[in-house]
Amino acid sequence: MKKIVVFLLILVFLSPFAYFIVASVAVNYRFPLLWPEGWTMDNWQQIFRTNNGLFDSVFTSLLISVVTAAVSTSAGFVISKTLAYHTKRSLFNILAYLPYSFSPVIYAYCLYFFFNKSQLSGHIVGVLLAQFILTFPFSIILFLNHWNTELKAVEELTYTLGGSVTQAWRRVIIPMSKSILLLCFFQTFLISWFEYGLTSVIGLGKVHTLTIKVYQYIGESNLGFAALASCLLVFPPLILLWFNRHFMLANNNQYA
Amino acid sequence: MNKNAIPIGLFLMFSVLPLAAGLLYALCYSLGWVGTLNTGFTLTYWSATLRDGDLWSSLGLSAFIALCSTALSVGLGLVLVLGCKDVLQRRIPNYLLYTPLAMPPIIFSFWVFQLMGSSGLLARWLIKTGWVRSIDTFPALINDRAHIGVMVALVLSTFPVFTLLFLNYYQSENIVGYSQLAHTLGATKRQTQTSIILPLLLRKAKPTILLYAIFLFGVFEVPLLLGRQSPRMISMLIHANFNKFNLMDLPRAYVITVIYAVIILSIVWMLFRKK
Amino acid sequence: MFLAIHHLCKSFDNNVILDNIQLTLNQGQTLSILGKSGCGKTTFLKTIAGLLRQDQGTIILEHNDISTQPPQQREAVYIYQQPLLFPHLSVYENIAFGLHLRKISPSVIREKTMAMLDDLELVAHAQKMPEVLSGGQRQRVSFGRALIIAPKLLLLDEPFGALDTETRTSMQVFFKKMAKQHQITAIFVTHDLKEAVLMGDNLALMERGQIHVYDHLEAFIQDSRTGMNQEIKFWKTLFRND
Repeated sequence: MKKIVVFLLILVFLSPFAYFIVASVAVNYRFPLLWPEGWTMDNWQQIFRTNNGLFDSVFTSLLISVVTAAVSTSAGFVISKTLAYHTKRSLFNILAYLPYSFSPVIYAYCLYFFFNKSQLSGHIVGVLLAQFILTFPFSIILFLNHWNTELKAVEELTYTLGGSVTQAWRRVIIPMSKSILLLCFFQTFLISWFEYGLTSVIGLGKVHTLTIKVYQYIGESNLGFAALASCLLVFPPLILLWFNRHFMLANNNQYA
Repeated sequence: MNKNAIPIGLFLMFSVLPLAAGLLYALCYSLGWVGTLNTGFTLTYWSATLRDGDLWSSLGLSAFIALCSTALSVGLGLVLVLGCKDVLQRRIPNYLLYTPLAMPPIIFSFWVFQLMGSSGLLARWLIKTGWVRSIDTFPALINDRAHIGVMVALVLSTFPVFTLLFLNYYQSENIVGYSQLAHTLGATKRQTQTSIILPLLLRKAKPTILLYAIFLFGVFEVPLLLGRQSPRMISMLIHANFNKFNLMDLPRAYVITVIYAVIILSIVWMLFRKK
Repeated sequence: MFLAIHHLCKSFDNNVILDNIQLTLNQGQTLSILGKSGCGKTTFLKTIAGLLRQDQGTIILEHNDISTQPPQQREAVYIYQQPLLFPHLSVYENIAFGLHLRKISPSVIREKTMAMLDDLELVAHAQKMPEVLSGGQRQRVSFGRALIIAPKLLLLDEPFGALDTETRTSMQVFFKKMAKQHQITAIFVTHDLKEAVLMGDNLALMERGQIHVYDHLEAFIQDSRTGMNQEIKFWKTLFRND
């Protein structure tokens, strides 16, 4: 029984990764061949060719995701503290869930007018702001559950022991919140890293993130490059998963 | 000034205001108040859209796909947890369950496209083994009428999440303890599963299940690659209306957006207000 | 008077929690306040600590009006029922925490912390993390963390409430010893009658936001609201029946 389950899990979950690697180095992978006729590293070598744009899109994706994750994590952490200890905490929680549960692409169409008017559409800054608007409610939801009476009591204790507000944050609150801060950072990084719909609408297809590239290659029926871009998209999170799988599950929504 | 004003103001500005402003603009556009086609207040676009069969078939299809995919994912997760909990808690199988979390929806769609498409891996293998004679006799599994490809991609991406969630709840809700108690009270293994374990897991997971159904209702990347032109899921219908060359379709796109928003926001509001 | 509280009032949404409290306390003395849950004990202590702001009244500590000072400047440490040890710091670091906040030289910190660990009989546990300590050990660390900064006032909110009977008894003995050794001025709040009598040099009763301080033990016993008389009667009856 155990062996069958493990075999099925390997088949279902590792085969996509294996396929993307094979397809990215395949030569003449024509229908109905089950296996390619040859192998080449040409696609992989092209990552670094400037005219290809793939290297740039890795960099763009990385930049957008890191900035989005850093800003939404830090802003969410600080702001959620006030919301969590407020008498209207449950109302704020619902208000954060409203945009979070909205389909990102439909949200993007709602926001498009404002981004267009402020000349942010088609620009990396616009995509950054739009992704922040998407990830910020998520970080608020995550942190609202973190602020509890015990943490408040510890903070108050620090004050009665003579600690200033800065000392309380630096020596107590942040160290005690390290794991949820990391969790939030990686989760918001992933939401941003995986984002396609909102990025394509607000970025007008001009901001070439990796997901945009994958879709572009699929549209061009360029299997080799589509597979290569897919590898670049999934391997960083896969490596992160290997180091700490708990960063990957926080009741998250892949479709956000 | 109240020291809470700035954080609350920032929260409202970046969390609530964009959505509220976007929806207000959509509503105004759909009523002819704003936009390039602005002719003053009119209900023409609303009445035309509400009479349109496309809207209702899209809403129906989206609800059907969201409910079926969620039900299948939850069912599969429960079967796995009830049937082989111990195996799934071991290092390698547990790691494998996490791997789909490293795949965005667009990659799932691409994988299902390559797997189940008419020239995909499955078709190649079936032709090689002689089960299927030619590409023409291979059944349409993507861009198909029943949206099988879409549902396969959605189930593949969500059932591991539910499996992991149920595994976590198994520990956090002390389900082993409750099961042992039920056994000492005379319950059989089957009775324990149906009367204790399942209700406990489902009760705890209910908000997450509903939230996932809401997410899947508005999913975009998967039907973009694997769905059909007609009928199409609601996000695809909105996307198509926003991208038509005819500007007359824009108010209609905004009408559908407002309808989608009313449905989703009311469900979320009711779900969490009750909680 | 070392501590003098005048006309202290506090309400939440029109609910009066502290109702014109008057209180004085001499240096080096412990005032035990007996009170049921919901009588306003925690609000009272938190207001003295500066964690809550009173609506009216003044708090004078060592001739200084601290009523409007932030908690950092009051030198009044509030100790909770839960030890609230910082989970990311070892026993040693927890105790030295207040000294680090004051940016004292490392050698002095080390000297004072080691001396405190010795007093607490926790030298062997100095490098351990809080999660491996027993309930009593954690509460001792919590006391050490407060005492090391030599606060003017200790505010104890049912500090032994979460401990089992045996540990609670040993902690009561430990507190008496430390109070004497460090000349602690403290307000000790509890709902346990025996503990109130054991811990306090002075006794008081808190009821519906008001505090009544007794001049001597006999007055405390005679007041039917404390329940002391019924307790004595119960044990006497039991003894007679035996």
